[in-house]
Amino acid sequence: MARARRLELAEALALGPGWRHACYALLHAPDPGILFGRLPLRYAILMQMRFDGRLGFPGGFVDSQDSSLEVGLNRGLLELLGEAAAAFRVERPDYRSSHAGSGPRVVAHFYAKSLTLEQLLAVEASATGAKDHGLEVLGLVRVPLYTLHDGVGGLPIFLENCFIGAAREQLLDTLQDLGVVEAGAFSGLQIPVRLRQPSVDSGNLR
Amino acid sequence: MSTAAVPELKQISRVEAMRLGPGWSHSCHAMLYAANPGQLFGRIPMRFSVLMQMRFDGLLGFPGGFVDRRFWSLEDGLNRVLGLGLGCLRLTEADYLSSHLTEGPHVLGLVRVPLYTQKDRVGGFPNFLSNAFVSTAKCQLLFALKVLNMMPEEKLVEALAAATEKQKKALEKLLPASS
Repeated sequence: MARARRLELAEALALGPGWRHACYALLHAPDPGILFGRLPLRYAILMQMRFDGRLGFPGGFVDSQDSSLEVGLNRGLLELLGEAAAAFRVERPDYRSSHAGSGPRVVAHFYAKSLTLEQLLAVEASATGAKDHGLEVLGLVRVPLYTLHDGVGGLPIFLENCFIGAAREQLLDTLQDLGVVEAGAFSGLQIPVRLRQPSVDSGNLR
Repeated sequence: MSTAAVPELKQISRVEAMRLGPGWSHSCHAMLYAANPGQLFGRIPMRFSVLMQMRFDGLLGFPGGFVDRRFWSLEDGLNRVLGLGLGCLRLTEADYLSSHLTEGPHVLGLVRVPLYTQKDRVGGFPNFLSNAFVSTAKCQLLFALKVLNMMPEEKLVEALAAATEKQKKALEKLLPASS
């Protein structure tokens, strides 16, 4: 499969009418929980098992009725995640990157949205009632941000799963900004991901 | 891994398993499934909804967990553990399928297993199989689908071959070229 090519937003928006636009969002919330009494969860970050057996982010295609990318994205989130997605809106400041190449003449725009843990839990709770549950979405999963004693279980193993398009890179890019992984920690399969120790400041996205 | 047949773990009978000494831990897992008459995109039959879960360690597995046999029968222990997450369910000995010997809690999410294969021969079940699984769960899934006649063995072998091929290609891209 051809590697996804990164584009500037302006370049992406200037693409002709033959191109389709899709938007995806990484929803995250600080999570004070601790696993096994010693592994800080740090953040709850949502991904989904897609109909095609790959992991990706919720979202979907923007259609001609949508007045902006974000209108399409929020509509897609409602269809995929259900009613709880109506409690927040993903906006242009949440935009992070665009990639072309995961489908013919398709450009995918990636956003990351900070939620409260309550909002994120509500999304998880209502997801099975969403219109697309069991169809386009086979289930929501959280991303494990810790590494187990064996140095492999947790985030490194999770990254060995099957991802759509640039989703793995988009995830790691966001984790870097959240201060969870070190820059350049990942360059391919089966390479150990170096995690940064959690500090007092939970980190903010630019 | 030979792909001539569906790989299987060392299976033991339930009777043998129950005779194992106190040094052995028992974990019970369940594949919960239901007939699903729906169609994806209005044209791809889904046939069944099969539940798996993303475990705390980033691997896919079946819901369930350790059962302390000093206090619970296998089924009571399993129902208890499933009840903690799923509620209102009762499995009985009639639902028992198999026991396996294997080496060694916090669920990140439940996912359904796509049983169809898309036109590109990779989307759906083959891609799903190329995710990271607890080895027992992958074998149990393939075994259950075969034994419950949910998928003919040729289709299982085909999907497994496509998944293994994909993983091999990804590995080749990653490792330095050798002559």
